Amino acid sequence: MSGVTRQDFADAIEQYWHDRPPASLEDVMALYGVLAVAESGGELYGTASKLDPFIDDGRLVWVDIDLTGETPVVSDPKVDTLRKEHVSKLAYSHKSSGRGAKYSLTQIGSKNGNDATGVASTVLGRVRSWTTQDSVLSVTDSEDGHPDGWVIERLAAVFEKDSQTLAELKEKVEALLPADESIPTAFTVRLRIDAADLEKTESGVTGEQWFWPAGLPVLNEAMKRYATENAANKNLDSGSSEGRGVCVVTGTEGRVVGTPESPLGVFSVKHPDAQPGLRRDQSWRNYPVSPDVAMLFSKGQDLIEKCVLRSGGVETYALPYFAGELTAAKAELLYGAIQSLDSESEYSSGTSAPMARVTYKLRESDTEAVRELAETELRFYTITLPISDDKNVIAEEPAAATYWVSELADSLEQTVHGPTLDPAVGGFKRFDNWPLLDFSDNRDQARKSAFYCITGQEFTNATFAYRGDDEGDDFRRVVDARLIAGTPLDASMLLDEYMRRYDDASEDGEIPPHQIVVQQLVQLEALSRAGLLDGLDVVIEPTDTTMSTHTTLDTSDLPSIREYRLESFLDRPLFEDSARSAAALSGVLVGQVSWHQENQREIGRPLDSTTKGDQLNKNSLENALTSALEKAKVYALDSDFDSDRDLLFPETVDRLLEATEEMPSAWDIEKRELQFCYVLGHAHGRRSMPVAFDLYEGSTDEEPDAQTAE
Amino acid sequence: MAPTIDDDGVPDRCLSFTIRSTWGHFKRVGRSVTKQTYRIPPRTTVAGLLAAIVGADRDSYYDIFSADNSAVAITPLSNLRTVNIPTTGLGTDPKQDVTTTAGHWASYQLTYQETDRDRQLHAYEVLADPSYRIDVALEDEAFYSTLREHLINGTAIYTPSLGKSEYLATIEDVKADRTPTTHGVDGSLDIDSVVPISLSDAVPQGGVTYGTERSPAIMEADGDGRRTTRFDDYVYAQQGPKPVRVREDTDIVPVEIGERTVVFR
Repeated sequence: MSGVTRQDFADAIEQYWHDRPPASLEDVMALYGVLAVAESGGELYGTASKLDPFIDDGRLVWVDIDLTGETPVVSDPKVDTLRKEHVSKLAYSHKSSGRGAKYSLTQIGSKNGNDATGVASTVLGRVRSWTTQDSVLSVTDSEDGHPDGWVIERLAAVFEKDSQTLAELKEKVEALLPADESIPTAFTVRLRIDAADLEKTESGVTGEQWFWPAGLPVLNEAMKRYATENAANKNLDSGSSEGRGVCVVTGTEGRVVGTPESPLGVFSVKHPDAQPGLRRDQSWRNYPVSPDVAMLFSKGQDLIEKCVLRSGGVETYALPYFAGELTAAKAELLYGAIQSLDSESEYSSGTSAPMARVTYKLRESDTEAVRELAETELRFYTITLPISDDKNVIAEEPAAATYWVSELADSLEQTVHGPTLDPAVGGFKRFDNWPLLDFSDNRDQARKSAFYCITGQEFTNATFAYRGDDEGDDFRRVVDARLIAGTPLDASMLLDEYMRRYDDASEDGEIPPHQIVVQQLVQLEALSRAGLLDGLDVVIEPTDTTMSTHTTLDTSDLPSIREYRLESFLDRPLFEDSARSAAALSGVLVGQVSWHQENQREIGRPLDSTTKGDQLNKNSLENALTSALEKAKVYALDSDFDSDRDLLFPETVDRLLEATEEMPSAWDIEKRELQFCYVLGHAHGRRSMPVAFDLYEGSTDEEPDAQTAE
Repeated sequence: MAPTIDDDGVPDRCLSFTIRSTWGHFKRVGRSVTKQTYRIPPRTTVAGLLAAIVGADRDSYYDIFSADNSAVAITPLSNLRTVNIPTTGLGTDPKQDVTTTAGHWASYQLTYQETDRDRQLHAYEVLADPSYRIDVALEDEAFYSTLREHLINGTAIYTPSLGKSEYLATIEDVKADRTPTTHGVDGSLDIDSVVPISLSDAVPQGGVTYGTERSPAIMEADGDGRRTTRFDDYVYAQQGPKPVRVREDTDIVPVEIGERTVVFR
């Protein structure tokens, strides 16, 4: 784990963390900042690790300036390979955004290297530019400055624009370095000062000394002010937004700033819409953030970026944290889990969901205490935004636990391994590459895949209507957030989505693959099992009493297989209602007759091609059903084969008549419900014969045509 | 006589009322680009709401709602459900793109909104059908008795609303001079109001999802404005009317008001 020790976490927590568990996005951002501080060796402002690529491969150029005399004495610049032992002396503080000077007096050039001219102009220019920053110069202020502000003043004089010293320095740097070699370069200044002239030094320092930047607190203070400057004046034309107040994160009083870094871009005083009378410089009153916390926000950014899932024009952050007291051990664990998001996942499709990966990283720990922590304290701050400059939050859950996802994953596993996907008891079957139908036989493995599926958006993407990238808020992501939070979904909304997806999935007016409908049934059933389905008077999952009371399947006879499977298919609470059952049976019959037309009579446009499930209403169903009944009769009379009945698929017609004696126009059922029951029945009916063939174990010398004719 | 509030923050008497609306929006601090709402009105918002009923001036009432002399308990009565509502807005800045001064006839200068410009689309996260029971005690005699009178008579100086002026609020079931009784804490306890604890102090229950928020609690006047001096963390049940179950060793003082168990803060 990249050399960060538990002690590093302990130190960072001690110094920068308040003692409350996170309760807001700000808290979580600050928490990630604390982790990043530990990561970078305990520094909030310093960014020593940014020099890592320079070590041994890059060079350090420095200028010695003696400030002990009346006038500063600038020595010739020196160069050395940048070594590990230099890093701590340089007090480098990186500025990642924008161009120009970095926050520290020590400046760096390009990671790809600079040639001699580049160092003399660009890098040296940054050192000069640093000494002119308002925030750096503010340490020379008599009221609000630093007691050793004079150091900066004298430094600024040396680097004054167009001065003789600066021009000489430039020439000397160019002469010092090989002309045509580009090498990564850090540039700094070493100052000779009498410690007695300094108010603040590190303890034990006396007499005239050469000070590297790290040895001078005044340079550190200037660096801090420069680094937090933006947090008080970003997007302000003039002045700054700062005052004394209580920090929204730490809860302690002190200097607060009003334009802190906003890693997700949800806070800014620059508004796209005109707001008359908006006093931008007063933002600190409503949103007071201490400079250190503003820095933590910025520091945590890289870790936050690891926890994002981007797909379909939308980004979902799932930021893990622990709901209890933060200890070094927990911080270490959290950091490790976030870091693990870097590695390629073993699951390929749609499974890069950080929420699932972090959860399983902790759940599958060898240590029991870690597993228990994952059970009890692990939470996620989830927030979903469109990937766009126009910021908008689609969904947000500040304290998403893994409880509901786990429940739903269990239910999905049970559904997939249950009768609904078991052809022998009237169900459908599993299919590869269909997200809700493709699960391992191993229960634990399947549960895990289900967890990934739900947090990785596949669960909703598989069944809901398509959304274009230009449609703004993707409602499916709202649903994801609701599921994670355990908010039940309304059946009428789901059925509407299902039918719209049915339409979306049908190309050129063709009937969509039946797997679409099967996935929808699986989803509905899984939601129902998990208690996350509202608005239906019945449960969807087959109850224990239903599937078990059947006699065993007689596989020696095709009609018996069909009848048995139909009986089992209908034996679910959803179809206890006669109108729903009748709608499903209509679908079964239309499916069966259409199969017969297509496979036995080679009719190019079977009955179901003109009966679109998603456009169905009671009248059109009545027409379809009437012709299905007629055809079942006509084809039977017309059939070359013996039949003990005068119609095809008698098992279906019988049950339809049992369910209702009225025609569809008289049924009491909502449109979407009618449509869904119909397409569900149709999905079954269309496969009634083929599945029967699959299960058939009767005498093989029977004529295949005879098998199919009935 | 105004109530007195003891060292535990528990008042000897309080006013209780239900406030509800079809929509609510309590914009979170820390969000300016986007418009999210707190699930629970911040304590400072409740103070502002009551000050509106009484007709107190802006910046005049913060002392009345400070930590020592006021106590507020907020109990959600509805599911804390939110909806994102896209709104199209026309600006109203006289200097900018919206209003125009038309050519004048005689001495009349007409100024009206320029409505042919593009509307700004903003999605507001709003609470749907929010409803809260508020218990409040204030040691300020004058303010408290005026408030009491207004509530009992169903009057208000400024119209109360839940967050935005469009979301007019209805106040009902007003009970004056309720007496909170200290509840003996034994074992885990079910609290109806939001509870100023952290998530880890809430005991999980089936069918209940806890949420947590940190919102402004106390303000003070400062120069030509005001500033927040305290933020509170609290836990609520997203299934509004369901209670929050808290651990035994939690440092809170629950009290009973009628049928409800609440925590003042």
